[in-house]
Amino acid sequence: MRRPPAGLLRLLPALPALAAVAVALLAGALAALALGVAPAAIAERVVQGIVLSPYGWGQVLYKATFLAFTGLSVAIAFSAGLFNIGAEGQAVIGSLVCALVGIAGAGLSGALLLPLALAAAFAGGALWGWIPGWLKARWGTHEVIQTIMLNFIALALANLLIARRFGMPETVRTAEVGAGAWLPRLEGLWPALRGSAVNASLLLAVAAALLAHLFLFHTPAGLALRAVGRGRRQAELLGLRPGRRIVLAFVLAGGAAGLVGANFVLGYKHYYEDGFSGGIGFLGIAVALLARNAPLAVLPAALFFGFLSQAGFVVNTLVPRELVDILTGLILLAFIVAEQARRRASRSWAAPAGAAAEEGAA
Amino acid sequence: MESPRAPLVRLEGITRRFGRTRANERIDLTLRPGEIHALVGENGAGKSTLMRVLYGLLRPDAGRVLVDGREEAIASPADALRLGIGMIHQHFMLVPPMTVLENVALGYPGLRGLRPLPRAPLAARLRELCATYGLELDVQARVADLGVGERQRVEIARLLFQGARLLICDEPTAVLAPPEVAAFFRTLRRFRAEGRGVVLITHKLAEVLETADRVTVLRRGRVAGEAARDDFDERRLVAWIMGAGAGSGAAPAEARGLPAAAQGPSTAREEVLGARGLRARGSGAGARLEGIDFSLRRGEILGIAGVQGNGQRELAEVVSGAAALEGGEIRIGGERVGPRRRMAARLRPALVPEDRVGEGLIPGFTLWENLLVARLSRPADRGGRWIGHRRARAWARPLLERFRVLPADPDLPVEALSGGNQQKLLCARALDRPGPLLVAAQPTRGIDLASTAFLHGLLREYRAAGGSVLLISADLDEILALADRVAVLYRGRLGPARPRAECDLETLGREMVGVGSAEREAGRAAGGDAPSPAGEES
Repeated sequence: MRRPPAGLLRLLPALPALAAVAVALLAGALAALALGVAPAAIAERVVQGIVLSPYGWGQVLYKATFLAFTGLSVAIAFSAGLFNIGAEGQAVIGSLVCALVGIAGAGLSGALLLPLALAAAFAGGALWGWIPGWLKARWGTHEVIQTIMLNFIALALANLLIARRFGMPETVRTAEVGAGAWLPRLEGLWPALRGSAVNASLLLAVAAALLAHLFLFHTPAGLALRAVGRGRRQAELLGLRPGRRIVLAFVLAGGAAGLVGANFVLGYKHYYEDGFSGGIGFLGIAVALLARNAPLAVLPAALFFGFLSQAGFVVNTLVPRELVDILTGLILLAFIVAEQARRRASRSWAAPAGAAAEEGAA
Repeated sequence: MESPRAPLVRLEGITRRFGRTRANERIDLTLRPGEIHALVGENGAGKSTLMRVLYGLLRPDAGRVLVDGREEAIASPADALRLGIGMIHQHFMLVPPMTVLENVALGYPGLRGLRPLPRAPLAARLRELCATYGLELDVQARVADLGVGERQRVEIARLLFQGARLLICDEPTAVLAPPEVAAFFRTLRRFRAEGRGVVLITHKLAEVLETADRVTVLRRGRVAGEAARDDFDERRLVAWIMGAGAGSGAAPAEARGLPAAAQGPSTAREEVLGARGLRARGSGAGARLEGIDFSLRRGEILGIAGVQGNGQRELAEVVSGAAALEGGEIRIGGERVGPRRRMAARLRPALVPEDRVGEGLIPGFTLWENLLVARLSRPADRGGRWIGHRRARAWARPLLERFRVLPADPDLPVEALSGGNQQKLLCARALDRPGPLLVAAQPTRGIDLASTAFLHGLLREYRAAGGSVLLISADLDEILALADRVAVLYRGRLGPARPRAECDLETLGREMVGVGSAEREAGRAAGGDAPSPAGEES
């Protein structure tokens, strides 16, 4: 087996993502042909509707903001070795609590109400994340099952509360939150974005990713969290109290997902609306996967899926938008396979002294 | 011994590289029937790589493998087994919830598909085979209930059952007590007498001198020396293993870790760690602790000898504060820890756990992360709330150099180190500060002579600086080389601690399998004339 030149090896980590995109483009083109639509026509629609349109980009960013929060949620939990399938439920609870606090405090000034509503969004999600975290730490239950079930509970609970208690008559939404809690839209800064829902939550998402990165890689608590993720038994013998770290990871993950409420409630609609989440929690798993659970890489990954989602919207008149869902699945499959191949390649080409020689995976 | 018979297996010019590392460089090896062939060398010398090529786990970059004179492409262990080549790994490949019989039946070529298992005839054949080879086994027992030595016998029986003509044994005696070792070698000799072949990978030169008909020494991926029984001795082997020029003077004795400098112990010094009637739950294949007493004093190494699975893991966990007590009390740093009180973080002794991969080092972490993570539980040590990567690297590098971890690159993932270097890293983590107390479990298992000698030196230094060490080890040479006092742990009970001068290898070896104690019937291999100085405690 010949070792490729060093320059190529350095590109290796980027290859899986590129391979996945290439597969998706190819599969998309083939599917379009099968449906009797010229791929060029679709490409033209995408270019016109998004690439050349500030409004299109605004919508991409708006959608990416959701995915950044849920992607971060999954990535943070995974750093502690936990699969958070519950970002959807955490996002729903966080958003609902955010709206309720925003409504209850409608009389307060913005300087007070906005931080309060943001904190409420985080706390709501954190509470919903705390439950599976505590259950796992205390009783050893499996977080995947717990978080899946908590999604159902969250959706049903929110539905029930809107229908019976907080909903406006004849609608599935709450009243509006106090104007002090509204986050400004970015069209104020850049008028070309007019009409697009992208808002200041985007900056919040960027800040959250940065904070998550600094926390995980530059603080003792983050190091301990990652240690638990990679070796729970080792961490236990080191006296790191893995149970507490697991709860913390889930609280942070839930909080990140809960911040979705800032984007939807505070930044866009100004009220909570039943059924708004529509799978963003699950797509967050895809985002984290593509980002290999690195918080900073979550941002471009979220942007990519945001773009894809908006693309499905603009080509809807030419091809069914289900095509985008199929493409999303294909991209992930291709990425996972390519990622596995990359790992194998880097193992056999770059294994340093002694490693594989003596120990290796027997 | 002298067998001019046609070779069973010939490896010719085997070359295998990993990146820029040459794990094997044009290695020739001839394995003959009726021969025990020892394969010796330091960690990273290429022994395992070579055997994994032969066993079909690795493809060589160049070279060929001949079995019975025919060139074969061995692409998987299944291919190897078909050709009669079997391997006993350091980590056994058994399915614990299944019985011995079921484990042996698994992978037997004649048993496939949906036909029911012919249990009775299988069991009869297996019993007969065990009797022939002196393998003491209950074929209906669940593997999960068996000790390490028994599990190894299951592995051997399975390979024999499948008709192995060549048995590759990777560090087979590392987990065995002396009487079990004797039985194991009796089995190997029977094997040899039948004209089968054995490859024995080992770090213990005594075993090579005692049992090998032929030896091949690897060094840095090449053959450093090869000789038949009459043409090598310890000095020559050490010279080959360590490279030219190292074979003179006191190297062999020191390398073997035999008692070099006896430090005077002092039983009059104050107690650093005391245990009174410790009881704790057994975990997995371990044993519950049933009332352990000992007293470890300042500047002392207390050796806890015993075969794995007799409560070693439980003792290390309880004493280091990682597991809760069921009863009794630990006195540490002037405070008492009982069943209801968790050990405060500041009291916890530094720990070298017995399983460096599964319990010690954190996979996927870099070397500096692995070093720093040990400091997190003690807020005073971790140096602030912020971890600067450049500063962390600068902190780790001298530490790696001091403990001779190679390569001393803080950014490498821990998997990049060989076993011996991983162990040094693990010790660096526990020993980087002069602490009062260290619990070291099997600190040198499966690592080469030079690394062992180096780590033993570190432990002696630690003691000389006033530190105390609870040394839990199955290796009696190690215990006798280091410990000031020795006690034997058997089935969750600890015998009395005696000064090293009053201990000898044979007596300790017997006590380790329960001969000479109240549970005499448990000992099988040793003769019945064991003196019994070890009483059952509590």
